[in-house]
Amino acid sequence: MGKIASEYLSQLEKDNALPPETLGRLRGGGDILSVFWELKTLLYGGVLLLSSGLGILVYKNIDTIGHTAILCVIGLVTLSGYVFCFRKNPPFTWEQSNAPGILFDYILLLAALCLLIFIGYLQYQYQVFGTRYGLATFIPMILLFLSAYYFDHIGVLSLAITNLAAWAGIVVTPTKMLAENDFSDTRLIYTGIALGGFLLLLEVMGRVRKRKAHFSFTYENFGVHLLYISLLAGMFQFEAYDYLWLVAVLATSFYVYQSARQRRSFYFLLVLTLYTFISTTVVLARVASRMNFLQTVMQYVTLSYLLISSVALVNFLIRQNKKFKK
Amino acid sequence: MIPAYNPAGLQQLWLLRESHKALHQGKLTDEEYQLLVTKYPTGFYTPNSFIRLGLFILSQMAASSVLGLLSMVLLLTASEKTYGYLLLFQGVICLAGLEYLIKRKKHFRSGVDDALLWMGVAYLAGGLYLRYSPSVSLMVLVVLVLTVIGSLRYTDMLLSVTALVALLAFTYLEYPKAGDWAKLTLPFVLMALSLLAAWLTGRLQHYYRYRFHENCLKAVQVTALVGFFVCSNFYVLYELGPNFIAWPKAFYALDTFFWVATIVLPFALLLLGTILRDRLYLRLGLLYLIALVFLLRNYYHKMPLEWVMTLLGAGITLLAYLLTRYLKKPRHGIVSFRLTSQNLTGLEQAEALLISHTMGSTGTPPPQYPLGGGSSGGGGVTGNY
Repeated sequence: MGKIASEYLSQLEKDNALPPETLGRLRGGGDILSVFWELKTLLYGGVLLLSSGLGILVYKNIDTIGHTAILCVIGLVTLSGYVFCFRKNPPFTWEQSNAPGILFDYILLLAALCLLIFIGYLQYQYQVFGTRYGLATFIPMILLFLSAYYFDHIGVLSLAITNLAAWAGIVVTPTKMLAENDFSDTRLIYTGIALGGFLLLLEVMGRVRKRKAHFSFTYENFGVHLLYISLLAGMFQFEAYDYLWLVAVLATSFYVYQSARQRRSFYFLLVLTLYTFISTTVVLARVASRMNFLQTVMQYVTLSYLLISSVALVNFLIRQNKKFKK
Repeated sequence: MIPAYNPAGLQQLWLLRESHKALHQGKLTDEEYQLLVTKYPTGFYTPNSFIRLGLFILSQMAASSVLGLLSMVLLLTASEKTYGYLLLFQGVICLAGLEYLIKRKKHFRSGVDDALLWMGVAYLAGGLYLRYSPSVSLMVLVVLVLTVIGSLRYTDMLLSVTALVALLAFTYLEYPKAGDWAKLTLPFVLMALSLLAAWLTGRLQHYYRYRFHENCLKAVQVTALVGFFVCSNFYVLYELGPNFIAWPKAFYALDTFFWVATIVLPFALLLLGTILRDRLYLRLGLLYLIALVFLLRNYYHKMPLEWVMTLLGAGITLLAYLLTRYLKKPRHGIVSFRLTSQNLTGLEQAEALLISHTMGSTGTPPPQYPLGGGSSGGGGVTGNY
């Protein structure tokens, strides 16, 4: 036993921190190393490469292989995956259920992705849904939601929410939300607000009715970010009414704060703090920029505001952190 | 150097860290671990990671605002040297504030102390540079000294890593000046330095005396192993290297050695990780293996990319499946299942977001379709191949 380990054990013994049998267990050798997360990473990488490679392979060899053959293979993979998952899945419950193993999660993911490829390919090649493009996104979305709830898979739920947003006309992929949405389009702003609010409603319903209550973080995460970004976009777009948009942001922050306090979520506390700070600063900066005649003074005031508000928010976060921990 | 933080608090923290390791090795139950958490309160103010991030951002903003205000006062009359004094003054203020927060408010990894420390060191370095305009090598030496002192006093991982990088950078800048023979042996010197740093920090982690700096030693060990990989990598030395250093002709005769080193290193690390049951070597070995695949692909690309992706994807998935089944029972002390029932919701949520980002990307929907629009069926499938 190393010096560190013996010092550690002698300290625990001296302080009577643990019962003797536990200390005996700690003294025993045979360290076990779990490579659970490493294997999960390998599986994730494998499924990602496989699904991407198959997609490109199909695209490049469409004329050679034949559409029907490709559809059959993709359909077979989808069916096999879902049959495997149906057989291995524990009985359905509205509570959280544990996956039968790491493989189950990724076979389900592969099956769900192949399902999307299958439906998309059907539409592209055979125009199964005709010009009803909404239906071509709606049906996969429903199937993904059903899969997520039946098999209790948060990853598939995230895919389902992404597809719901796509059906509504918005990209909600975390790193592409700002780049791929044109928030100068007012229709998009209102759709974003409606969708964000809808996701928060789903979160509340799930939590209150205890229908897969553990999905609530995923719904709330997407909903909160989409709602805030849409409100901020509205604030930038409708400059004349930025006070009204600020009120909407503050109302959202009040709701998110209550939710964060109830769940003792530091993540949402940070999110609401930063978004509220950004919106308030934008409105105040606009007020300051309108005062052309006091330009130099306003520069000092702006810097002082940033200093005072940062210090105030630091104190706020520290106090809230202590409050949440109690 | 005595750490700035309360030694009693650091001692409690060390006990909890050792207990956490025991928990993840399956030697402690969650209840027993919670008992120890209650038994050994550190007395430090250490918030959750998200709060820490928020405090870090806001502290940076506050300190930058102070610098902004001071700059506005001096701006009209400031020379570069005056600005250098200003930065030095700002650096001293930051570090004085840091000492106050540590001693009086018991901050430890709160975000505020991280921000003040890194900004303090950065402002001091920047101030010295503006005031004295030293050469690059001398500046790197100054950074090395500041970061070593900072990491010893504040047990900071980032400063420790920066210190090692500064040491390697100083060697890289000064050693080749000795002549062509020095240029020829530069990769070997850097490899030896990295290996020595990795070995030394690996050994020191087992000493009770250095327990408070264990995280710093671990961070330096990882950096040193990455440094060894970079200094022995064929692509780095022969493709990127000539952009930075004019290799002598004899260096190109050593290409076989570096090819072998590049190929062998990932497998050596995986083997070492399996024998020693060390997660660090396993993870680095995996990462280097991925880098090796990309490197081989770069030089040997007869096979179309989509076939490589498909075959590799199938191979990796199959390997993971076989390993999961094989390691259901402990084999040489390694298992494939989780040892603790600790709440891993955060990791699972992060995994779900990663899945949605990489596998759920959709095209930007056309604006003419209201609800029910979108040109995509999701899952990366768009209406247009």
